Parts: sequence; structure tokens; C-alpha cells
Amino acid sequence: MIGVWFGVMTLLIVTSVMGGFARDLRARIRGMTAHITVTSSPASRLGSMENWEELAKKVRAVAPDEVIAISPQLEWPIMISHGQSPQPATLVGIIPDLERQVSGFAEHMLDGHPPDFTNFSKQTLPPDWGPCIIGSGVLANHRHKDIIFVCDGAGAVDSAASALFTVNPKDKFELLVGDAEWTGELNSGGEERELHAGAEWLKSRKDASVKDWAGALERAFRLLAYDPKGETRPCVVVVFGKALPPEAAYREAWHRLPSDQRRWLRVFTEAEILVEPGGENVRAAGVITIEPGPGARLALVSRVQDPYIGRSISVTTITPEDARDRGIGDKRIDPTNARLGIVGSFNSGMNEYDTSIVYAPLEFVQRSLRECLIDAKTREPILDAEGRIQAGRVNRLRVRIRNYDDAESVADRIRKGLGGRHGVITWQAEKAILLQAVAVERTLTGVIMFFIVIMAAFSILAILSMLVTEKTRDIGILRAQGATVGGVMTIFLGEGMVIGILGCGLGLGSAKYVLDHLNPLADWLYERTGWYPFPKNIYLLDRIPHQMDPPVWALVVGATLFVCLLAALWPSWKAARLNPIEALRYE
Amino acid sequence: MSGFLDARDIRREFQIGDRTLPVLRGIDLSVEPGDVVAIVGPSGAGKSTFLHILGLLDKPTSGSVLFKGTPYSDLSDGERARMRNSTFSFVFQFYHLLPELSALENAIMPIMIQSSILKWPMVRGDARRRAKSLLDRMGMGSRLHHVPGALSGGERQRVAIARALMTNPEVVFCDEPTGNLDTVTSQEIQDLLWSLAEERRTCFVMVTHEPSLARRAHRVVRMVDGLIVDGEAQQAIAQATAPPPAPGPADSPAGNPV
Repeated sequence: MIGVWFGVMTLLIVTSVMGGFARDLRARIRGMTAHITVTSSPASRLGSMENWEELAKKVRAVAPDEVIAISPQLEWPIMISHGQSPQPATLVGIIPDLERQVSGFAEHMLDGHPPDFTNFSKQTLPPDWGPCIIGSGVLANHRHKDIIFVCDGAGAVDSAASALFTVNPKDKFELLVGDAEWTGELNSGGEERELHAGAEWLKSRKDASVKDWAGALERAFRLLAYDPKGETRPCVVVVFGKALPPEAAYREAWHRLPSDQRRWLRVFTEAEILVEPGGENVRAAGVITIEPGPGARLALVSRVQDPYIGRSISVTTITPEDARDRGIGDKRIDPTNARLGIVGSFNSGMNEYDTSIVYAPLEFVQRSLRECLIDAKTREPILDAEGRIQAGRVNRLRVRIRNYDDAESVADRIRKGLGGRHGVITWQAEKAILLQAVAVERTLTGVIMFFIVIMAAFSILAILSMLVTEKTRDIGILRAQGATVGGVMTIFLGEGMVIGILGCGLGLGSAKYVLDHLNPLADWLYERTGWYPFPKNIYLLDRIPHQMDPPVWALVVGATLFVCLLAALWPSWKAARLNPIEALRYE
Repeated sequence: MSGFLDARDIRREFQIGDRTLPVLRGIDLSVEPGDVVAIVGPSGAGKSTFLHILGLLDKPTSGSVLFKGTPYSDLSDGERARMRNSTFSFVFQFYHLLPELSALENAIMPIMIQSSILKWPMVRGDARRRAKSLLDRMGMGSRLHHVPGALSGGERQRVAIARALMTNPEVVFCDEPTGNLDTVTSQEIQDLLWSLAEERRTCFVMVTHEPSLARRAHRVVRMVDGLIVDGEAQQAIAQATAPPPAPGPADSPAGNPV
């Protein structure tokens, strides 16, 4: 019975949590993917639409009741050069006001930044740069690795020298002691040597002390804040000193910064660092725990959460993989370069998007891709008489409809309505492989978990077999009193079913209880053991999802009872077949 | 051939390994309604096996048993069970009560078995009443709610007899009903069986080693080596019971495939 109980409980918990994941995953896919995507036919980034507004009108006309919003996108594969190695991503030109109505990126913006490109004042960006909003994972390799130390006095310098190795900066570090400054570049190899050189330099300046804290902090802050020249930029300032700078010094340094840069910064006091070493805020700012050495205390100034803002990236367009199939050779599409300043980032929880999408204003992307959109017939870039790209040119329309479950039927209508000259796919079709994988995974887990139930059923079989042996004489007595084969069988089948039903009931109850208290239980486990079964920063959900699906539960209970019945069948049959004299013979 | 309970040329063989052991070698017996028949004979004569065949606990290898002219050995399992429940009943040497149930519940058992789950609540009250009066009749009125473990051998056998009579059977088979009891208790049980038999005019077929019990039977059948020898000879009793009673496992049929 306990076997059945735990089998049913595990099965229900696991399938419910998996179901919850699948549901959340689908919701997230829907959040970031439009319900319906209209592309040129066949679907390709190369094919483009001349005038998206006209096409959008047609789509609306086909299904005026269902279509809620339409957003044009011009999408192109790019390589991002940032730091050491280029990495692939997708540049997506959008009109933010339209895009936010279609996809959920607006809700996923980090730090509540506005989901458009106005976050950073225009004048801060050089004229030929575009603003961009990137997925939080795009530059993941380059997070948290650069650092500035501000040191005051002998103990602090020693502390900083050893902390330098603890932090192990990746690209660059800045050391400020008194009025002197040292920059370590770690890009070119020889990191170890560079770190040692920095440490030596620190130790050589034991007698220097900071006279003007506000000035020193301002220099550090400026390095920390937006720096158009550098692609790699420190994200944390650590201040070491026998005594820490007065609060006024921070405030003064703060006020000397340009206004649009102030809000990125946050000061952590020593107490805060010690309370949450590596805790959420500090971790996002990129601090690996630093212990203040003897004779030194530390404070920390960090960029608030989003370490990207103010960084810039260089992107190079690459030829879409299907170019050759379309009869356009590599040579035809020359790579184009563009520079983008990061004005915000989003974290949708969908790794695929978070690590690849770079949103930029549509007209900027159109300008950047001027040479890339090539007419399939003439094989020449599509430009108007003045050598400009048409304002309406995009390569797909993202459509949001009223009810995402209708996507298939609405897509059909749009497909017909547009006369078959466009590719129309639904979100399910777009993510078919992922959705199928999740569904298969859920089914497989269910099957595997069901083996637990089968194991439990074997214990029923064993228990009943033993019971039959133990009760042989009693069975004989009953048979001698005229109990039929069926009657004896019913007794043992009933026994099996009682075990099954009790086990199922307990399993149902405890599974419901565990699922209702899933998150408190996980927290309790974390408090007791320090182990969190569901790392929030991996799954990017602050609670464990679950979905109690009545048909699935009914199926589990039904199947379990059936298996219990099967397991009881053999011992019951054995019991019923006992020869009454044999059963009664031995005393 | 009386037409009440007839056994015709009953043979029963047991298979032990590759040997065939004949235990009953052609037995004919007729029992009249209301008869009290005692089957006597030395251990291993096949008395119990014969009783089991008559009482539907076993099937003959060949030959047939008839009840009121109808052969019943080859009936379906369900029919046989029903007959075992209502027409016949058994009293065993070792009582064979269910240890978890009280005396009263043990006595009710045949009624419980014969009624479906739905009908049971309706017959329950009546069955309890009848069981109580039967047990009262046997002097068990104060021990109704004791489990067999708390009862003496004689008391247990009284419960077993009450159980046998619950369904008002037409034939009661007793397999050494007093074989496991001391002399005094044995005498009490014998008296009880006799008074019940007279009172109810029920047919009793009993296997026994007790000369005193056999002496009171209407008929005594003596069995030796799977055959009935001088069925009617009253004087044979003395010889048949001359060896000391040897109850227990040694008394089980010779074909006992241990």
C-alpha cells in the first residue's frame, strides 16, 4: 500500500510539475513568438515585402475579429564582435510600439527600462550608431568580469592585491591608488603576468593615500558609466580603505556624473556585501565574493542589475544560410557592419531568444541592411532612385490574434486571403520541434514513473501470494462451507483493490498537498540544507510551476487500480484453485 | 439402492510420483434418509477419502455418487459449492473454525457464504438469531463472542457442529468428530450428536474410531484397504476398533501425497 501510495504520489507530482513546465513554456513561447507569422513565400529572410502597411491591412481585412495587432520585422543574422570571439545572433528591426503589442518582450525588460530605444538620450550615442535592446544572454560570456579597485593606504593595497586574484577579471581591470592609475588589459593572453604586474604595482604604492575621495570616486564612476570608446567596460568598483569614504564623497561624485548615467549606479555598503555575498543584486552586478583583508574594509559600487546598458557592440551581417538555395551566391551579399549601443536588455526566460535576439529600430536596421536585401530576379540590392531602401520593406509580419488556440484556423484564412503568395505559420508550427520534445519528454517521464506503480503492484502480488499461503487452511474451510471459486477469488481481488484504492487515495491526497505547498517545501529544504531543488536563476521562474490536470490524474488513478487488479489476479486465482482437502489436510 | 444417497463402485487413485496408489477400490453404499451411518476401519482404509467424495470435497477417479437419484460428482464447480453449502455439511476432527471470527460468526459463516453482499444485511439478523439458539441448545450460550483460541476442544467442536447445522443440511458428514477430544468431552459430543440426529431426523455419515459412537449408529460399515467388508456386521465393530485409536496425521488417507 505504501508502495502504491508513493508510486501514485511521485507519478502525480512529476507529471503535474512537468505539465506546469510545459504550460509555462508554451506561454513563454507565445509571449515571445507571435501567434502567426506572415513571411514571403517560401519563408525566408531574403524574401522581403515592399510595403508592410498595405499587407497588414490585407491581413486585418481577412480576419478583422481575430487579429489584434500586427508588427513588422526586418530580421537578419549577424555576428556580434564583442570582446574576444564573435558570436552569432539575430538582428531584428522593430517598431517598438507595434512590437510590444505582439510579443511580450516589453514585460521582460530588465530593471523596468522602457521597452523602446528612448532609454538612453540620443546625444550620448554617436550619430551613426543605433540603439539596441539585447537578450540578457547574448553577452553572457562577458558579464561580471571587469573590475575597478580604488585603494587607500597600506592594508587596503594588500587586500586589493590579493582580491585581484580572487576576482580574476576577464578582460580588463583598473586600479586607482591616490592619484595614480593602472590599467590591465587581459585580452591579449598572459593574464597571469598582467595580474601579477597589477598586484606589484599596487604593493609599490603602499604609502599613497586618497586625499580627494570624491574625485577618486568620480573617476571610477566615469569609467563605470557609459564609455563610447570601449567595448569592454568595468562593471564594478570596489573601494578598499582603512576607513571607507564618507557618504558625502559618494554623493558628490554622483552629482558630477551626467544625469543619464547616475541611475545605473548603486552603492553597497560592507554590511550589505557581507549579508549577501553573491546575493541576487550583487551577483547581477558581477561581484564574486571579496573578503576584506586585515586593516582594510571595503565598499562596492556597482551598476544596477543590468550590466549591459551603456556597452556597445559591433555587428556584422552574415548571409542567411538559405541564400544559395534562392540562387543568390555569397558574393552577392556583402557583409555590412553596424555599431549598436545597448540601451536595455530583456530576459524572457526562453534561452533561445535571450541568447540571440538584438532588437534595433526598424529604420536603423533597414538602413544597415541596405545592401543585403537583394531582388531575386535582378540580383541587385533593392533600392529606390535615391539609393535608399523603401520605408515599407520588412521581411515578416508578426500577428497577434485574440485566441492563440485558433492560430491554425486564422492562419488558414490569412493564407487563403493573401492568395498563397505568402508563407503563413503559427507559433505551434514555428516551435513544433521544441513543443514536441516537451510533450515527448512528459510522456516518457510519465511512462518511467509508471514503472514505480508497477513495482508497487509487484509488492501487492508478493503480499497476496504470502497471504494465500498463510491462509491456505482458512481458504479450505471456506471452500468446505461451500464458498465458490469466484467467491474466494473475490476476497483476494478485493484485498488487492483495497490496497490499490487506499494507496491511490493517500497518493492523491499527498500529491495534492505537496503540489499545493511545493514552493514552501522547496524553501524549507533550502533553509535546512542549503540545497535548492529548483534554482531560480536557471529556470528563471521564481516558483516551481505545476498544473493539476484532472484527466491526467484520472488516468493515473485508473491505470494504477488496473495494475493493482492485475497483480491481485494471479494470487487470487491460485487461492481459488486450492483443493479444499489439500488445504484442510495438515494441521 | 435407496435413492437418497448412493455411492456406486467408487474408485479413487492417488498419483505419487510415477506410482498409482489405489485407495478406494470399488465401494457401493446406500444411505436412507435419517440414517446414522458409522464408517469404521483401520487407519489407511480410505474412510476419510470416501467421506470427502461423498461430501463433494473430492472427486472419485471412477464411479458415481448420487443424491436423490442424481449424480453430483461431475456437476459444475458452482453447483458443487452450492450443494456443499446447503445440502451437505461437514464436521471435522480438527474443528476447522476460522481463528479470527467469534463462535457466533463462525456458526453464521455458511449463511454468509450463501448470500450475496446485497442480500446479506437482510438475512443477517435472522441468521444471528438462529445461530444463537443453536449454540444455546449446545450449551454455548455464554461463549458466543469468544474466538476459537479461547475455547476448549469440546466447545470448538460444538461451534463446528452448530455451523454444520446452520443451513439445515440433508446430510451431515462427520470425520472423526470426537477423535481429538478427551473421553469425557468425547462422550458429551457423542451425546449431543445423537440427540441432534434424533431430534432433527437428519442423515449423519460419520467416520469414527470410537466404539461407543459406532455402537449407537443405525448402521456400521467396516472398511479395510479401500473396500467395504461385511457392511452390516455389527460384531465387526469390536475388531475394527480393537487397535487403539490413532488420530492425527497418521489417520489421513493412505494416498496422502506428502
